[in-house]
Amino acid sequence: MNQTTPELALPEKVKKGDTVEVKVRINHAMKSQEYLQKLMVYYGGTLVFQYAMTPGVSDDPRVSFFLKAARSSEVKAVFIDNKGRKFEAVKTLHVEN
Amino acid sequence: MINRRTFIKLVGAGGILTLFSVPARLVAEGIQRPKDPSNLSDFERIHTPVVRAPKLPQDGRFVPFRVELPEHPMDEDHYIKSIEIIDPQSVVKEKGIFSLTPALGRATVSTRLKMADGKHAVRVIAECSKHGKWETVFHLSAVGGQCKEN
Repeated sequence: MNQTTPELALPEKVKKGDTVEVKVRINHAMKSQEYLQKLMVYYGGTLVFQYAMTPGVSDDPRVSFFLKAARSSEVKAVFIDNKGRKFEAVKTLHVEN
Repeated sequence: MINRRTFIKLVGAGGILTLFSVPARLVAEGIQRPKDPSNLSDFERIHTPVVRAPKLPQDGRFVPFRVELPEHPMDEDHYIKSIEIIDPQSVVKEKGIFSLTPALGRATVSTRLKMADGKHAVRVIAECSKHGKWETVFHLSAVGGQCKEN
């Protein structure tokens, strides 16, 4: 089994209105028999980003995207694999006014 | 120039579809491309995806691939809805679809892809909420590659 809890990287502190890069990584195989199907990212409970994945993505996926810092709130990343298993990571984005 | 005999052979073999498949497909899928990539209009420039990836990746198992539409707004009524990556030269052609929302503030995504050895013309299709789908084709040549059933 080659899997682990995902890691979520956010900047330490940001100002309201800044656009910040969010990085997500996970150690998981991406083979036709076993692969991650989807990454969903929630900000303050709202789904803001999705990546529908295939075995054409490299093993141990590294994904990044940007997020507009609107308020201090939780960012949650959820991977789901083709066997229905979920792997989650949560961090708080601290936003200064 | 195709003579009559060749034309009939092509039609018989289904080759006519191959000859005209690219523009026909683009029209059928409603995909737009810049008229002259070396001289983009402002409208074309904000809608055409920009790819940041190595032209000669040395490890085809892990090809970093970044797509940006740096000038496109991410407003509630005008934003990039999705970015799709397709590699027709890989066994697993679909490399995934990113779904974006205005909350992101910027339409930039990155991932790592498997690429088999050889030349690739990777299609990147961005969909604007107002102005439809726009395509860029990025050419690269991978070595040490891996994109096969396993």
